[in-house]
Amino acid sequence: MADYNNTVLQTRKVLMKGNEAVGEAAIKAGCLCYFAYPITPQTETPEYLSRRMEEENRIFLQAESEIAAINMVFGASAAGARAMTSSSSPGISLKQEGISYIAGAQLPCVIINVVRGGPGLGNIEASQADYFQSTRGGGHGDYRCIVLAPNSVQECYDMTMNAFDLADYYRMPVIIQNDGIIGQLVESFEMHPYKPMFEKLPDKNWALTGCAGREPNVIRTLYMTPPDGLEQLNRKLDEKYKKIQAELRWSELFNCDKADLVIIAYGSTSRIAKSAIKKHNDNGRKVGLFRLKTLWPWPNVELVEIARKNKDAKFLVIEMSTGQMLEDVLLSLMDIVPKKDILFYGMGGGWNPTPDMIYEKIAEVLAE
Amino acid sequence: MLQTGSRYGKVVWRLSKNRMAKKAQINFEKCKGCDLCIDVCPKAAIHKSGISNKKGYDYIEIDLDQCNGCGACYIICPDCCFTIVETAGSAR
Amino acid sequence: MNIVKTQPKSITTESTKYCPGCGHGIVLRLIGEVIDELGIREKMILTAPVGCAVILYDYLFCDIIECAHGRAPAVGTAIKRVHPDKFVLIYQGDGDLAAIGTAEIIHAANRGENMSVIFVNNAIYGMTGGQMAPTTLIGQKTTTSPFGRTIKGMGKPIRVCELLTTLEETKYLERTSIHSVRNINKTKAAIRKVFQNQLNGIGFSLVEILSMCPVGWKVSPKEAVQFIEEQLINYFPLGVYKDTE
Repeated sequence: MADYNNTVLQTRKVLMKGNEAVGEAAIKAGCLCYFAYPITPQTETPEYLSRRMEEENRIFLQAESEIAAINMVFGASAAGARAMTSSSSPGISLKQEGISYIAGAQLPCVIINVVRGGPGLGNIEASQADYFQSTRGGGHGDYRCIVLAPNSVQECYDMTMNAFDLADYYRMPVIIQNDGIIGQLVESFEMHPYKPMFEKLPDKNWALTGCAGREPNVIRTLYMTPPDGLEQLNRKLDEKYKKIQAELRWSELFNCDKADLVIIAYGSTSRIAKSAIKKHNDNGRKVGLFRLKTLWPWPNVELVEIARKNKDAKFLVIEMSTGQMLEDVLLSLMDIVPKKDILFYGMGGGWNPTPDMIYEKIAEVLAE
Repeated sequence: MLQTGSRYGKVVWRLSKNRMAKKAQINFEKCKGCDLCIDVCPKAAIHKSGISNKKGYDYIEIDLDQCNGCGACYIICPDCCFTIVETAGSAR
Repeated sequence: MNIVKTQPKSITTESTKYCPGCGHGIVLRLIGEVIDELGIREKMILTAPVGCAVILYDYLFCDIIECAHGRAPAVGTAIKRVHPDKFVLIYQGDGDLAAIGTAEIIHAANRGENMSVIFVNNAIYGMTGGQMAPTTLIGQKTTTSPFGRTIKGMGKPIRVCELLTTLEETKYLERTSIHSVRNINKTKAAIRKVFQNQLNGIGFSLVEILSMCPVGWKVSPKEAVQFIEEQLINYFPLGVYKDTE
């Protein structure tokens, strides 16, 4: 088995691309297996890891398709290894059946989605139009994945590292929902040693390792007959997801105290918006930013608190889509904020706003 | 003489001499009546019983006088219904 | 009284859900016998297909994973890479291997993964009620080729052993059948060879087993045996297609 000792024992500042930081975080977190397929704009990740996994004596395999790759992750995870795959929107669509199997079998794994324009072949610009796909299941059946949304190369590194721990702790897939801008972004960040999130992770006594000295382990998702029926599995999953919803909501507030307008955004949109917001702040306007860090579980509690504290505030959801996260905002605020005060600014198809565009839009909203 | 051999019932057969003889035994509750064994038996020792087992299949029975314990039935049976046993002497 | 021959210990003593006369039952017993003889049950991990054999986890006493349709070779590849010292068995039917999973089997074979593949070819989709498979014969009537399979529009049946011989990293490919005692014995020898190759580190080894599906073919088990003898074997010749040590 591979040597999981940290290759970097001290923190140092490094200049790296988002797609590569994701790879290095996986190495540090002890990812044993990485299976992928080239697709823009995430191809740097398999290229980076094809070299690094070899150096660290891990297992790298460029699979014949994204479908094969996710099924390899399924197998490696079932065998007890930390496993990861990465792709971009069309490839993630291919993986949906596999992800459903992994979720149903309660196996841990990490999936990186560097979202690009869609639907169909789309384009290679950044987009946020896979929000529904990642947070509403994506594949068939009643399941969820934990979805983390980095907005910097630092977060690409930190969140990917966390993802392995979360996956093992909760026994489910964790998706890093990147976008084409963050994946391609080159920034300096603190490359620190592996920081475990939990003191202790559950034992993988369900793993397939050969049944010497124990009863055979079976990894399955087909449950045809009661009493070991499918309903039992779904209840178990539902309880797990409710627990996660209660304890894992991550978000970040910027200037939300006494705000007249709160921007809600995540990923690269949140950074672009922040530039515009700061400019408005400098001009004395009370605009704040509510940034999502987990897309699932959705930080509804935190958003509702902001709405309660700023009774007359308006909310502007900015997404690189035609309105997906918007629905979660509407759901969270529906009895608290009048619908006319929840606004949307965005477009699909690889529309990437500039700070000026957002500045103008905010000005327009404040003027009404 | 046609007799039924059963894993759960008493096994009774007559041997011409006191020596080790191999015979097939059938667990007829597992038999699905596929009849594949009937055609492979070199001694034509297997026949339909005309009786249904608990699953409702018309199971087979073995003519132990004819059976030489060759194991062809064991080999073709998809359901592991047969056991080949070896026994000494005449038994009553 | 001593027992000369009884069923292998690695498989269930309960009745299987396989139909009367189904070939899967014979293959299951042969696998059980070889596992017992080689003593590999405790180091074995089986990747099960979607199809009638999806319920293998009720019949075989080893670590098992239920794979998505067609993906067993990919799942097995990963398991073998994580646990190279364990024995990985890939078990697939003709829909799993030759339709939806064509990419996965070809690439696992091409990469020369040191795994053993048992390919049960009964020229039909049994589990879903008897639809046409990639290995269904020309003229054969199924629920999705009710007038008989035609070359025009449906193509000819795929010969998997022949197809895989072109991949240089495949080490052992044999086609056998289980419609008669003599052929079942040959199949057992082939299964043993395919298993032993993995244990000896030889490489990708596959046995394609022509098998009966009386219910799918809408014939009696005896007629099913005849169908293999008179028709399937003509199109899918038995024999060793590759044997590299």
